[in-house]
Amino acid sequence: MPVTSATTPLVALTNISKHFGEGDTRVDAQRQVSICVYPGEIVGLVGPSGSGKSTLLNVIACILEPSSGRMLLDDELIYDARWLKRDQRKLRLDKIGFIFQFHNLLPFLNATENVAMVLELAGRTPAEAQRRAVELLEYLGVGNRKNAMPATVSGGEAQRVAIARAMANRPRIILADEPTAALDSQRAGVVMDLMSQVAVEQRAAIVVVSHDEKIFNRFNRIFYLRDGYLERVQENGGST
Amino acid sequence: MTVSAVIIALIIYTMTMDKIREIATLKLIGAPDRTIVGMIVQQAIALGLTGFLLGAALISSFRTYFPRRVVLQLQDGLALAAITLVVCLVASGLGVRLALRVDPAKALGG
Ligand SMILES: Nc1ncnc2c1ncn2[C@@H]1O[C@H](COP(=O)(O)OP(=O)(O)OP(=O)(O)O)[C@@H](O)[C@H]1O
Ligand SMILES: [Mg+2]
Repeated sequence: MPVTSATTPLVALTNISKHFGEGDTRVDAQRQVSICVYPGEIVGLVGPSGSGKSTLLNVIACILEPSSGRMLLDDELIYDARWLKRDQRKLRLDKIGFIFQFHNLLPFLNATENVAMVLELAGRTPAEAQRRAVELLEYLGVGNRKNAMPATVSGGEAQRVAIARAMANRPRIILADEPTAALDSQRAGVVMDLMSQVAVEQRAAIVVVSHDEKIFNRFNRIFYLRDGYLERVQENGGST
Repeated sequence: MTVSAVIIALIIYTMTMDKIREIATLKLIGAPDRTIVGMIVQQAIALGLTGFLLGAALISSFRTYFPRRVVLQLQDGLALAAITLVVCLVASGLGVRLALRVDPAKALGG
């Protein structure tokens, strides 16, 4: 998929810095990081332990306040030296989907209910939510598990249910934290295929933090972080 | 009564502790606090109701042995149910406080 500069990025960070502590205990977790992620793209955030991957993901998720910089999400200025949006949870509910290392489904709800819940939170009626939840589960190939409780499905199936939940409100941005770390390489491949499909079909921007080198070739671009710096960007041209 | 309130509070607190990851996930995906508080209060009420029904069942099964001494009026029963409910709601405050403090970053790995 050719990314032209004419397309507006869905995630745009400009000179984002974040430090923890002051003086002797100061840690610069993010130093003047600028990145853009475009619709239809799936990018990797990689780097050694402590390089700032989680910090950056948390900033994009609006759960960690940067020390300085600017951030636009889905063409809206969210942060400019301070938060510009009051209700960040509502913002996440509407704009951002999350995929976790462990599916993080609610154990007391079945697959359909887990997906329907976020739809209802966003204001759909229970009947609508139910219908769309089942549709999504079918789209992700787990329609046959729609009434199963999370504890009774396999890791790969649970991750698909979690992807269904992440895309339920049609967010333009999806953030994934080590989504394949708990899966064998075949299932990891399936999950990555589905995520690529979601990126392309929903015109979403997907940001994945990962240590799993087996999936690096699935990223359109890879951002290498080191000591809080964006060290280099690798383009994997033509992989979609 | 105080003792039972403390016990209920502790049970709800422990149940909430066990659910920190789920609570963090809810916050991260955008659930408002009232949804999360609602879930905890629901649990508290369920707990209280279970306790109350268990107690009521025990009393009525013992009644056959002490027919004259334990004559529980319907009104007393209702009052007791109301008290149990209030105790549970107050006791769930501790769990709610904990839940509101959970950092959504806990849902994401290190
Ligand atoms: N809440 C915090 N308080 C103080 N320092 C922190 C905090 N969070 C992160 N750091 C520091 O910021 C730096 C970047 O941490 P971060 O968690 O972003 O790294 P990471 O790339 O996600 O590492 P890993 O691969 O181990 O998960 C580290 O030096 C870390 O110790
Ligand atoms: Mg990390």
